[in-house]
Amino acid sequence: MSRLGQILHRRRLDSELAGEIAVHIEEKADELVEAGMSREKALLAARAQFGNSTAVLEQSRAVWSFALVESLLRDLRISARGLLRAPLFTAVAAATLALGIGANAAIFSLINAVLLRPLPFPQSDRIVVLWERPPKTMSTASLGSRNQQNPVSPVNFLDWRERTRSFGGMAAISSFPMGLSGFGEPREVDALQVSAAFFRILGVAPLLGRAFDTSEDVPKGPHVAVLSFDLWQQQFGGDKSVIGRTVRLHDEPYTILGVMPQRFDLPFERAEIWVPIQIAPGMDSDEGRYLNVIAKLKPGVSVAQAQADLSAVARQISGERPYLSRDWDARAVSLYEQTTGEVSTALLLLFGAVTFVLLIAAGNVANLLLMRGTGRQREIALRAALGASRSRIAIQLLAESLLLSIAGGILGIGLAFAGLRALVVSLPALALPRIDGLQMDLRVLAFSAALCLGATFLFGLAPALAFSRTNPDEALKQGGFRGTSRGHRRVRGLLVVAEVAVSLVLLVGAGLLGRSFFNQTSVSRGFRTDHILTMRMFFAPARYYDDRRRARYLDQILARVRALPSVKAASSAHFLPLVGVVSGSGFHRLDRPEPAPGTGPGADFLIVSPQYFVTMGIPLLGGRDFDEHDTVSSEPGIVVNQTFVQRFFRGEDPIGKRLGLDWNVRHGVIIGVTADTRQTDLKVDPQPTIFLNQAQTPMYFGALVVRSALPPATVASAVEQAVHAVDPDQAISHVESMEQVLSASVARPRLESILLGIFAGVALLLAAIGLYGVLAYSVSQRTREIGIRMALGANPAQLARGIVRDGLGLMLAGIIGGLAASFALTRLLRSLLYHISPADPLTIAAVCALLLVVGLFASWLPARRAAAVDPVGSLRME
Amino acid sequence: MTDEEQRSLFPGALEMMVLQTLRLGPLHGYAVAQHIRQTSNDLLQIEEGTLYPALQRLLREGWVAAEWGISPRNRKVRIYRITSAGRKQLQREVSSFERMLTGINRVMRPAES
Repeated sequence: MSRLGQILHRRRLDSELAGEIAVHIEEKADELVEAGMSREKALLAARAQFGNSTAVLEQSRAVWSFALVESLLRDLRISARGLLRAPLFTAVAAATLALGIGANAAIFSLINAVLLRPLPFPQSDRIVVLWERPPKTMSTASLGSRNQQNPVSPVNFLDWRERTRSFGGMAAISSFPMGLSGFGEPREVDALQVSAAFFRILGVAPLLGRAFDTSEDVPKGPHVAVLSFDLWQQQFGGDKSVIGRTVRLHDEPYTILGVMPQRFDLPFERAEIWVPIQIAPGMDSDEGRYLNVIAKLKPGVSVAQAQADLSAVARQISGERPYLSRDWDARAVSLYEQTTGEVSTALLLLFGAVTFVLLIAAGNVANLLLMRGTGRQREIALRAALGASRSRIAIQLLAESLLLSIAGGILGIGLAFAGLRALVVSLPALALPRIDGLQMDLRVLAFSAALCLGATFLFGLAPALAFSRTNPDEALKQGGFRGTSRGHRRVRGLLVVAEVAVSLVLLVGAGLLGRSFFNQTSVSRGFRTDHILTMRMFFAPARYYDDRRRARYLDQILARVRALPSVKAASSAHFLPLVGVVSGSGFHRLDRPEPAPGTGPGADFLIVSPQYFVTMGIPLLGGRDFDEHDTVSSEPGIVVNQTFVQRFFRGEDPIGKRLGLDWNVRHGVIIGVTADTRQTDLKVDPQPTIFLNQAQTPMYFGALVVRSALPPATVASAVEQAVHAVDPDQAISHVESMEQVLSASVARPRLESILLGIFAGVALLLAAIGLYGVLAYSVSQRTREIGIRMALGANPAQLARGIVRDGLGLMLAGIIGGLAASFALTRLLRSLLYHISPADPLTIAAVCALLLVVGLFASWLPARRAAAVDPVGSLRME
Repeated sequence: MTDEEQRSLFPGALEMMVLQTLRLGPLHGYAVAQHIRQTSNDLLQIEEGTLYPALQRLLREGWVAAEWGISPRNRKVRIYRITSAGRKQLQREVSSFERMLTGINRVMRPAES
């Protein structure tokens, strides 16, 4: 039988042995009775002969047990009783640890979900994302903020696919919301047009049916579609007979080929339906850059090798098609980096922060244990005198720490769980990639368990070693006088200094992030966000293929919306501000010599309807807005912003000047100048911008912006009805107020500064409690001394000042240490900061002042108690 | 005689005697104790209870096996039986015990003579 089995069967073994012993004694007695003894006497004699049966049982039992485990369990039981006898100490220590361990478990869960969890594709380390990289002359900061990652033009994609040797497959992806109709309410679905290689690269087989293949992914190929699991469930009720049926997308029939498994998705581009992109060499290519590209590295090829291969091809293309691609380069980024790159800095930073919080918590608990241990020194000395070895005592003290850790860990995991739930609910979708995978899995639990063990040694080892060294002779001789050894007091002081230092670093970090967030949100946006409703639409190409028809369609919608009673103004833009994207292209002044192809300047391009500037509250600085006289057949009008004028028409009047454009309208005349706005992101300064008129260059998609007297939510349904009055099949998505758009755009920096703020606050609180604890304890230990000094005529105020001085001394030492550390560490924040230096003197000064005030308060409380010591009472106390 | 005193005689002696006893045939605990007492002509007055931890040790090492059976007095008891590993162990112990006795004799004899 295995030993584990034996332990499990311990009870049975015990009862069997007991039975065996009883039989033994009875048989012995039987024999004695046969020899002529009375039954009673015989039993007594038999028992005497047998010996101590309890001891025998125990010895037999010991044969089977693990001595170590048994004694550890005993230690834990004793410790548990000890802890329950000191409920306040236990509660404070466990709560402190719960904060530390909980914060770590929470952030680790995030890191696990976002960074550690492998991407859900086989050989995902070989999947890369490919981008074009614009030449320096053309790039605007709108692109700069996105790491020089420009979408890819179809012709370049085809050449990359043809000429590179590093990839085992390359797929183009175009995101293209489509109106799904024919099944109940028409709704907009997130559709992706993808190459047939898409599914092969990601390596995931359909759950039902099949994906489309290369023969279907050709120009004028069949209309086929693959459904996502969720869409299949929601729209088709999970009906398996859906394969082969027809749905209408943008008014055209598509045959359903298959259904993908649940949660199959690109991490950066959600999709509900996939259709073949059907581009090929020789087609009348759209030369805009709008494709996302993924590819799979051939086995053994590194990202760097693929990058070199790709750049070489990009250089060839630059020579062959200068009008489109002169000096354009290409970039290969691993899918993992693409997905996690932006958030990993912030997450690792937060992880560092919570590690600090745990260190402070451990410091506090170590302090508590030291104080408690000092109070128990006589008990420990007594045990040592009774023969307990040093290691036994140390192990028993560690067992107590372990129990505290476990209690703190369980509380902490609960805390983390609740906190994360609140966090996920409050986050807008996609603010953190892969957050849907957030869960308390085994890895998180294992991490938390390791944390508990680590914390146990962190805060438990020093006290355990310190007190197991207790010399029983000395400690017992001290008799009634409870002395504190000088060494322990110094350790406690050092712990507090370290805690203060660490919390200063955290506070400075939180202060910097907070001020950066404030800078970001208080920056002049250039447009208003209140009382503006937005909604996004795609116009079905089948129905609105014709430019004039498409232009007139949006005009009709806007006319109906403007006629609504509570609406003050309404317009449209092809991209809303602050959603992170804008079009960009090249242009040149027609009154100057035309630059060599590809060398001209670039600008952001935004396609709007008349009244956009009025609706958004953007002041017109000169000239006029677009109006109903600007049509497809008249000379395209151009409105430019102030930055554009300063950069390209410094000291000139731009009105009436003509520009050549790399757009589907090739030229236009400047009719107006507006104030600057921030378009893609609040962090990006206003860029030179060219506004064109939706009526003159109609797009296939756009967002309505509607300014109303009433709150936006109350007019939403009326606006939707107005749209459906023009076309009942028009799908509408993202019905949001402009305030919501703004809030979503800063969700991540807000999250970062709030989380770091919470952790810094916890750190400050713990450090303050630590300082208070040390001083209060020292006062309580020195009551007698203080009493004597007072009896000898010391001034209470003077004594109190001494205590405060001690406290502030510790605080100052911590502040100095913390300043040094923060100069080294806050530089790591640089990439997250907006318009503030990592060494911002104001923030640092404010944090120091805060710490001093808190330190003063934490010292003042014990000082007041010292000053109130009653000399007579204190001398009688012992 | 306490446990400590007995152990100080020499460790493993009781186990050796138990194995030797069981070599004659399977027996239950009381019978083992009786046999040891009788064959030693009551010279070895062991506290009978100490037999049981010894039996547990032998079980743990796999030198004896036990199963439920009926004693001559008709009681349900555990019957112990020596295993082949137990026989080998007994041989080893007896020979090392004999070597030890020889050594002790050599030391003791000159003092006697």
